[in-house]
Formats: sequence, C-alpha cells, structure tokens
Amino acid sequence: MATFGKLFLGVWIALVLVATFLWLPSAVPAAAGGVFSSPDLARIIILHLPNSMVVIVAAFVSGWYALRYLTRGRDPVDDIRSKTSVALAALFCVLATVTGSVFARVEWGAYWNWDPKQICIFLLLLIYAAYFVLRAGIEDAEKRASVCAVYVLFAVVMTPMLGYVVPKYMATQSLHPKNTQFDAAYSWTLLAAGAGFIGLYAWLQNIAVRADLVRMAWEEYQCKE
Amino acid sequence: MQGMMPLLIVALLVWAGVFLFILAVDRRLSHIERIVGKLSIENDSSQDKETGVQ
Repeated sequence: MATFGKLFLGVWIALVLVATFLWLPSAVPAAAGGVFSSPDLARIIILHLPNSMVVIVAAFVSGWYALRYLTRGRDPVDDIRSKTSVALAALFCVLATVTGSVFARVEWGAYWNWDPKQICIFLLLLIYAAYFVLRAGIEDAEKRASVCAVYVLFAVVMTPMLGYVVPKYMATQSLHPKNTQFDAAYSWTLLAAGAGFIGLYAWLQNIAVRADLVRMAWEEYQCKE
Repeated sequence: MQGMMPLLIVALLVWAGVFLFILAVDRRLSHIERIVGKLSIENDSSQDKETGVQ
C-alpha cells in the first residue's frame, strides 16, 4: 500500500469518528417508539457493525486462498495468506464482540445476555481458536497447510451462517432488533466506516503476509549458511 | 453534541495511537525486508561462485 493510501486511510477513519460523534443525530429514544434505551450512545453501532463486515470479508479471503492452495500447486504463500486472513478475522471478531458487549451494557443493561447473536459470535470465536490449535498440532508443514486449508473452507461456510443466517432467520427471540431501518446519515456513516475498516484489514493483511515471507526468507538463508 | 466531545477525543487518540503503531511496524518491516533481500542476493551469488554457475 502506497504511503498516500496509508495516510488517506488514517484521515478517513478519523473523519468517520468525527462524523460518528459530532455529525450523527441521536437515535430515536425508546420512549418515543425507538429501540434504543440510550439514544446518544446508540452510535457505538458505527464502530461495532464494520468489525462484523471485516470478519465476513476476511473469512472469504482466507477461503479463497485456501481453495487456491488446494487446487493450484500447493503454494506455501497461499497458505500464509489464508492463515493471516483467518488471524485477522479472529481479531476483528474479538473487536466486534467487545464493541457489541459495550453496546449491550449501554442499551440492554448487561455486557453479556446470551442473546442468539452473542452465542453465535462466541461459537465463531471458538471455530477460529480451533484453527490455530489445529495449526499448532501438526508438525509437517505441507500436511498442516492442507488440513488447515480444508478446515478454513468449513470456517468460511460457518462465518456467514453464524454471523447472519442463524441469528436473523432461525432465532425466534433476540434482543437484536430484526429488519432495522437506519436513516440516511447512519447508513452513509456505516458505509464509510465499513470501507475504512476493510482498508485497515487490507493493510494489516499486507503487513502480516510480508512479515511471514521475511521469516521464511530468513529461515531459508540460515539453512544455506 | 457537546457531551460527545470527550468520547470523540478519546476515540481519536486511540485511533492515532493504533495508526502510528501500525505505520511504525510497516516501516520497520520494509527495513528488514531490504536487509533480508540483500543477504539472500549475496548468499546466492557467493554460492554461484562456489559452484561455478555464470
């Protein structure tokens, strides 16, 4: 990513924060027929939803590289790209859980309510944690990459299932409002935040892959020495 | 809106810290990439000399 792109990303996310806290109107209070008991702090959602967007994007990127690894000549670089993307999906999943917990405390009175969506994101975190346990448990590099690539394909299917389909269509009771209609200001700020967070993910992915490639090159150099 | 000012300042400070940290890691990594790249090239050329590869 060029220096201009990085600086642009920094300014972009700063502007999203300014818009979130200063430009966005407060949500409709519960007393006036809205769904939020603390309308001013409902804007936390602008920092919560983009994390979930990134989890979905990162999961699909990791799945794409896992598929490439399995079908196109078992290139170790594809395995590295898939692994770093899973790590970032897990990181943004943790961020979504933390920001969601703060939102739940403010709006529903407790950090954790065992709401279907919260249970689903917890299961998703376990699925990502299992990936790293699996990775750590296999010594042979080629076997590890193959087994993990297959597991990533399973995780990719589970991510939208647990993040979207199950809580939206299968849960009968949930604190999360269904069919939420955001007004234009919230929708645009959410889109801008989503674009910024996806840009941040792309930058982190680039750094993590480069770091792994440097480690590989260094190990190769030491072997030759 | 005035009540949101302290939260905005905290959020901006946190983001500035995270952004500068990532930027510093990126710069450092570029530096290490140059060193490792140079070492690999030197290593390859010295091995080529040993084996007589032109």
